[in-house]
Amino acid sequence: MINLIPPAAKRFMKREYWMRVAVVWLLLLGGLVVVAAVLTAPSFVLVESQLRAYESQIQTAAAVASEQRALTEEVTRANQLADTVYSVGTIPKVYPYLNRIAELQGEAVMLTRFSVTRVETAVASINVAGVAATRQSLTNFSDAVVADPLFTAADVPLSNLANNEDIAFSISIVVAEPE
Amino acid sequence: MTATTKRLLIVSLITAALVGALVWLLLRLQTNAAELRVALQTIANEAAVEREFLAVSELLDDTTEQRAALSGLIVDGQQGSIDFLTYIETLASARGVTLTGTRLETAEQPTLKTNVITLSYNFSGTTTAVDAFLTQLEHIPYASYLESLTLNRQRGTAGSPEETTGSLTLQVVVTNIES
Repeated sequence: MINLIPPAAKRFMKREYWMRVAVVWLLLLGGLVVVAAVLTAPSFVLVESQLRAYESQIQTAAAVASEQRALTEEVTRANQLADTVYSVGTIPKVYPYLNRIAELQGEAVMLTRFSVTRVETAVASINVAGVAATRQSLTNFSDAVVADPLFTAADVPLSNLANNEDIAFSISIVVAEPE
Repeated sequence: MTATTKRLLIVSLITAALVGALVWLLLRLQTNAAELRVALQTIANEAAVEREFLAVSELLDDTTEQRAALSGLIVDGQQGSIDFLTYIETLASARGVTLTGTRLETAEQPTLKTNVITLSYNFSGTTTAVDAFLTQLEHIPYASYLESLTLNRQRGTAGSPEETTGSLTLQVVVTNIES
C-alpha cells in the first residue's frame, strides 16, 4: 500500500498518537489513585475517630500514672526513713556498759574516768581509769569484768601494779560483740 | 501548544496532585495507626495501674499515723535542728546538768548512709544528775546515738555529792539539710 501522507503530517500524527497514549495512561493512573484513596479513606476515618475517642481515657491514664508515681515516692521515702530509724535503733547504747562496769568495781576500787569512742557504730572498747586500794582488789575487778558476758578482756598493764596500795590504774576493757 | 498538549498537561497535573494526596493519606494513616496502637496499650495498662494506685493509696491511708511517728523521730530542716538543740538543753537543765556546746556540724554518716548532725558538749553536774541525764539521752524519741563519751568523777568533799564532768558527742539523723 502506497503511503500518501506527507512526512511532516506523518510526524505530527505520530506525536499526536503518543500523546493520546500518555493521556490514557495518566488517566488510568489517576483512576487507580482515586480508587486507592476511596478504599483507604474508611480506615483513615476509623483510626482518626478512635484516636479522638480514646484521647480522654489516655489523659486520665497519664494523670493516674503521674499521681501514682508521687504516691510511690512517698512510700519509698517512708521505707528509707524506717530503714534509717531501724539501723539507728540497732546501734548499741553506751551507758549500760558503763553502768555494768561501775557495778563490778566493788568497794576497794574507785573508778574516776570512763572514755568510750565507737568504731563505726560499734562500741569496741572502753577505757577506764581509777584508784584501787590494793593489787588484789584491782585484779579482782579485772577478773570480774572479764567474767561478765558483756566484756571479753580487761588487761591490767604490769606498770599499774608497781605499788601495793592506792594503785592508780588505767585499763582498756574490750566489749563483746553483740549477738 | 495544541489543544491535546494542553489536555495532557492538565491531566498530568491532576494525576500528580492525586498521587500526592494519596501519599499524604497513607503517611498520615501510618502515623495515626502507630499512635492508636500506643493508645490501646496504654488503656490496656490503665486497669493494672489503677489497681496498683488504689493499693498504694490504701497503704498510705493506713500508715498515716506510723509515717508521722516515723518522721517525728528524724530532725527535719533548720527549724527541726533548733527544736532538737532546745530539747537537749531543756533535758539537761531539768536534770540539773550544766551543758556547754562545743561543736555542731552536719555531715553524711558513712555507715548509716544518711545525713547526721554531730553535736559535742561539755557537761558537769552531780553524778546522780549526770547518770540520769545520760541514761535519758540514750532514750530520747529521736533517731540518735552517743558517738563518744568521756566521764570524770570527782569524789565530793564533806557534805557535797560526787561530781561528774565530761564530754559527749551525739549524732542525730537529719533530713532536708545540706551537709
